[in-house]
Amino acid sequence: MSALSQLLHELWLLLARFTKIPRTVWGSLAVAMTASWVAYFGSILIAGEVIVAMPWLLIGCLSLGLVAQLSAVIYALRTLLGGGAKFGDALAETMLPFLSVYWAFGFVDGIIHNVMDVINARFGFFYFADTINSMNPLSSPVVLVGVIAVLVASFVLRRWLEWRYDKTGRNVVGLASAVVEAVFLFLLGISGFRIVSWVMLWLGDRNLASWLDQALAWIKAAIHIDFPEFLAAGWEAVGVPLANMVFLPIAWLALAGVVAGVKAPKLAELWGAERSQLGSLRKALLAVVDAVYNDIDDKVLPFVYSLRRVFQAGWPFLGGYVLLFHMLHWLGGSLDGWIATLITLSGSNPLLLMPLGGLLDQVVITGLQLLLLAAAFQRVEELRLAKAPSPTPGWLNALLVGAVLAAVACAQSLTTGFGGASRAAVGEVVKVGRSEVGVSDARMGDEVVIGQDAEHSDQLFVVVRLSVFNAYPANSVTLSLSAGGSDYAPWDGISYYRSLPGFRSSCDVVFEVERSALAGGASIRAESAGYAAEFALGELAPVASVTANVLIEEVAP
Amino acid sequence: MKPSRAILVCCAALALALAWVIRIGFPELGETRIPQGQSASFSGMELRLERLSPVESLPPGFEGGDPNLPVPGAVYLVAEFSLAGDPEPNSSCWAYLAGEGRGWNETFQSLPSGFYQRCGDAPSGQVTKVFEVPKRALGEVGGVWISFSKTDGEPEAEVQAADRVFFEAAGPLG
Repeated sequence: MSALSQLLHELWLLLARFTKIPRTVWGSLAVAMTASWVAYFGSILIAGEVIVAMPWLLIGCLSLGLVAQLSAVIYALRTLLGGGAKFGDALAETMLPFLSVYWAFGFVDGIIHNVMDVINARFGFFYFADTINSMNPLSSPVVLVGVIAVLVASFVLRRWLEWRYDKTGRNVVGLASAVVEAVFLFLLGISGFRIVSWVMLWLGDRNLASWLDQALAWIKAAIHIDFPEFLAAGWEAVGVPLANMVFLPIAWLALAGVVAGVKAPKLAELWGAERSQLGSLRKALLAVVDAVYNDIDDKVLPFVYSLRRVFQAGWPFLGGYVLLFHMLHWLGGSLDGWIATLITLSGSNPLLLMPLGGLLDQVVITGLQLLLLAAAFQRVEELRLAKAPSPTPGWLNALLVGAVLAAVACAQSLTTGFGGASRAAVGEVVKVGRSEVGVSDARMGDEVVIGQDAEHSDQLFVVVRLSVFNAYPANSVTLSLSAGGSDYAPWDGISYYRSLPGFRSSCDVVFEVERSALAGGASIRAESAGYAAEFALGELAPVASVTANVLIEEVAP
Repeated sequence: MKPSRAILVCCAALALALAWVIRIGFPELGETRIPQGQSASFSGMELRLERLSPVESLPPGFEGGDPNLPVPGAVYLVAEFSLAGDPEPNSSCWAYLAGEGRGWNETFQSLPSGFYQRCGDAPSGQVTKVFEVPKRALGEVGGVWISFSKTDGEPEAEVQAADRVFFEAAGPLG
């Protein structure tokens, strides 16, 4: 059997398992997913209430919501898999990878955007901005000390709760430990990046940064390749689509494996000896690892071994599973889009109906996704026990499956793009998330005139007219220009555009682009809240000078 | 799955749906509501909404009020407050016009001389807040939210205390 027919066979097997799910399991799944939906929107609603009293409670609310969601997912998976790891163990082992997956693939951004929408609608954008500012650890020494104190305290508290859980085995202690861990990770994510930014700025002012710039310039001159640019373009072209297409479904399946109870050895066992028998260097290293991150045994290794188990199932199975996973998400995305269109057409407040859209995504689609995960992991185990050798070499299977996935991804990108981007022409106005975005009047020149100033460059200036309209408070829109395999940010450094509710804001946006990059055409990409639209610029003839009006003009249509 | 758990989850879902509709659909329910013409007090200051009405242009003297005409399709909505009492240092207030599921921050304001940060640290007098809103949205405006706050006085200072009240418009505007 060729790799392609094996892939189709695996896809068919997974589909067939859906029909064999007992009716009683459907009920349990629906209840668990509804509980997850309640946790998600309940935490957003409560966050909107408590933020007035104390902004920091936002982190506690979101942490509670995420742990409740994870608990529902684990409960549902345990029901579908017919057992597996003990609930508290599964919770402890999946919290870190679950949040990592959520963070890496934009789910945490999603919940924060939803909270922002609720606060914007109730209190206005300035209130939210003030609130977020007050949570900046660099805004005052008191906040900085407070953040560090809470981070340390939550780390110590979690370690104590885990110790108590190991002693007592009570699920409620495991739950409390997971909540504290989520608070720790959220705080680190929300406040930690500001400290990292500050450190990067500080480093940028040091001599070390100029030495590094000189070294990179020397390398660029020697090999004629801008290495950081090359890496960024490579990641954008290959890494991001690959992550969305392959890593997300595989990470979810590995999480299901952890819940199913995949056994992983301890770090000491991997090093070939019990801890007491380890050499002094290894023991010291292990002690450092323990002190900084004692969770390697409990949280990292189970996920890594589950991931390994998933990969052992073979490329044809992975190809079939990944395709099915994306079919499901394509269905969810399409239904979501139709509901959003219906809400817009009805003129209703989208925020009021937000949980209705979430009901479809979080109960129906996520429920089906969990069914798929359970079926897929059971198939992983069957394949492991069968240990049937593949008639074709592994590399050939990988190549064939890769080619199929790439073909599907290309087909998908022809209609919606990898990131779900809709195609539009210059002059059109399209819906991007909750915003209506238009790009018009594209032109390019050797010189751009902004107000009284004329700017010259060895490269070309591309100017487009951007318009953004929101009937209700909505997320901001980011704009970039894609040409010659590179993405260009707006020349003036403005990273986002928005409009007040009921207003249409327009302004010219200027990009400075390599002349050679424009030979193959260019497009403008507008993104908002995970949605995107690409406006193909078509053929543009450069002129000597173009004028840009970067001041924002508003009308209330 | 025990039936009691399913019933519990269904009840929780219904409660959430109800709470969502109430909080998002009617945000002023359960909040402190001050009818136009009555006072709200915070941190030594007393604020009263005297007038809330649309105007086609602004007289000179508004902070940042240039141009004095609203953008096409929009109208200025002027909220006149009277301020009494002796506000404590570093106390402030800012306004947010409430629509249905949306709202607008103040665009311009006129303050008595010596005012610091929107309302606080000021002698008594009149405070005028101006909002720019789409003409089509006038009918949905129900009043003005005022957020009082007190900070530790530093730039980007941490808010030490905050309070919100809803000043109800006397009647429909649109």
